[in-house]
Amino acid sequence: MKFDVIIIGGDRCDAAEGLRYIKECKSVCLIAEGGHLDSPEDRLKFAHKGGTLLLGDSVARVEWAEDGKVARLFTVNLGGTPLEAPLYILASGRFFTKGLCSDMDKVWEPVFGVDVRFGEDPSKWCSEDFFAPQPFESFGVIADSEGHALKDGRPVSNLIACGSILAGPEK
Amino acid sequence: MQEINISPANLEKCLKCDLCTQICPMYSVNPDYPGPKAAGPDGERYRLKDPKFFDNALKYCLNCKRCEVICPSGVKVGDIIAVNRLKYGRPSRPLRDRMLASTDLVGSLASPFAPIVNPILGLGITKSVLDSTVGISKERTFPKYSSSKFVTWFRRHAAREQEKFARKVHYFHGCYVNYNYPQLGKDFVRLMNACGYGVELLDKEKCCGVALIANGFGKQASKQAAVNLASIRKAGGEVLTTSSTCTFTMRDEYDHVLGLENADVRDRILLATKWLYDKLEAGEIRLAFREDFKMRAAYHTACHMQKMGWQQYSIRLLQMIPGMELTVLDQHCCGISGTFGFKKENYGYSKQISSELVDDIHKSGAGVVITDCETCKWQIEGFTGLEVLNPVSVLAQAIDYEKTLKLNNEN
Repeated sequence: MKFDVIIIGGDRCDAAEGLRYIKECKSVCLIAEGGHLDSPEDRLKFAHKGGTLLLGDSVARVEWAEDGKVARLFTVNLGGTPLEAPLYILASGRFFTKGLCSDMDKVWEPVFGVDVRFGEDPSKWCSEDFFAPQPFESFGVIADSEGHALKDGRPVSNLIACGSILAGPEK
Repeated sequence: MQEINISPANLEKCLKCDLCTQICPMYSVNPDYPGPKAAGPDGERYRLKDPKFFDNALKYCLNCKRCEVICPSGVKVGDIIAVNRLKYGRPSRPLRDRMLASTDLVGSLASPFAPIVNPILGLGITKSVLDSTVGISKERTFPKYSSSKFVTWFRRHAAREQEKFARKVHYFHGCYVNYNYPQLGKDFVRLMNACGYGVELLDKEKCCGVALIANGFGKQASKQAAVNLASIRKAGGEVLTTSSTCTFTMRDEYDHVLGLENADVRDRILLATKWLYDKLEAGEIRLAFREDFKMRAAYHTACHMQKMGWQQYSIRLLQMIPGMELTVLDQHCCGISGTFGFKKENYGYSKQISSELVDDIHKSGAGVVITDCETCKWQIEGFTGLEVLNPVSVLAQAIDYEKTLKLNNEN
């Protein structure tokens, strides 16, 4: 199934991002595991405006091209049907929306396995003071100046990371 | 991610966010229904402690699964409710519920007498009697029975033709095609043949069991499911269907609700439109469309279609037809939920739930509605008076049979 843009959703900005591309007359696919707690109506609006909303679905597998670009991806619901687009947007949010995963000593991005910045010493990931800034809040995906996510230190030219999944100051 | 579970239904992942309650079509019209969160994961915590906490209001769940689609945490809310209904629920009117759920039995009895049965079922007096005695709403009209079953037609008029094809698919026709609407089955055979595929029926086919599950007859549903699974295993290769609910039931409910092992065959049970779309994309099949075909239609995404996430296949196939002007409707539940909407006490809720969809259909200005679910078809036909077709029937009408056949023979 071919689109102009495929968005891997989860972040609160995912549907708004999709609507922006729809305004440019592009065919957009948004993969979102469920409704968004902050703004469930955004996703319904996205579908109403002609976006392809794969609600309750998630990415099962990604295939990479030899030049390091994302070639296609497959979802749990659509099984063997490849989804392809010249542009992929990673807007899957952070830990709660499963954009980022972690265990006791590392943090990773589960869909594409792109580079993630996180503190080396797990004992310093959290501050014991509940109201103090929490260091893990600044963990996230590393991108170049144009927003391309890095994989093994090199930007993936058709994958843009946006929203709270990006590493940076506390969000 | 959603397939990595902690408990069978991801019960403990529920955060009480209530998105499921917001999207539940029944909760919005029926104050007696506690809503999916309370009926599902919340209630489950009590029921695990003591089954006496089972609330009979769970019978109002439509099993539309919209709660599961919207859940951000992957909780199988609908499955929790369905399993508990089977375990603890009691039919409110056993005779009527048994009658509505036994689609194979009633279909086999009614079909030979269709010319007499249909007019009698359509009479006002019959409806009033059924309403006041068994509890079937008099506002409903039963789908007409066909005097000749699909299977009979297939064996007599189509089976021999199918032997000419080297490539084959199996067809699970379902009760509606067999007893009520053989035309859809005939359209399916025509479409497959044009694509260069012969059709075979399963060794033994029973009703998928969705009506039995919904009415609390779990044992009978499991028996029928076992027959179907054995036939599908024996068939090998893809088994195609033309009903979204039969497909969903065999793929997901057999495992999640009846607890039957189906992982080995699940991926082979496919809706015809998904199979066709994937073959077209892969370049294994080609379609040629008639130039004189014109249709202005609205596509309704059935709830189980949305749950499977497969509406795109049907929509994209329909959009390939040059003479098609298609409006894709917002996803609303139509409110019939199979046998649910036929019951006297549910008719009002069913009608109220349908109102958003019915309004949208009227606004679209479409002359025909297309959907993959036969019970949505009854509801929409009943409340809009418009003709409702399955995508497979539309495609069978829209293709140039000879040209398509030629294209696929060249492959």
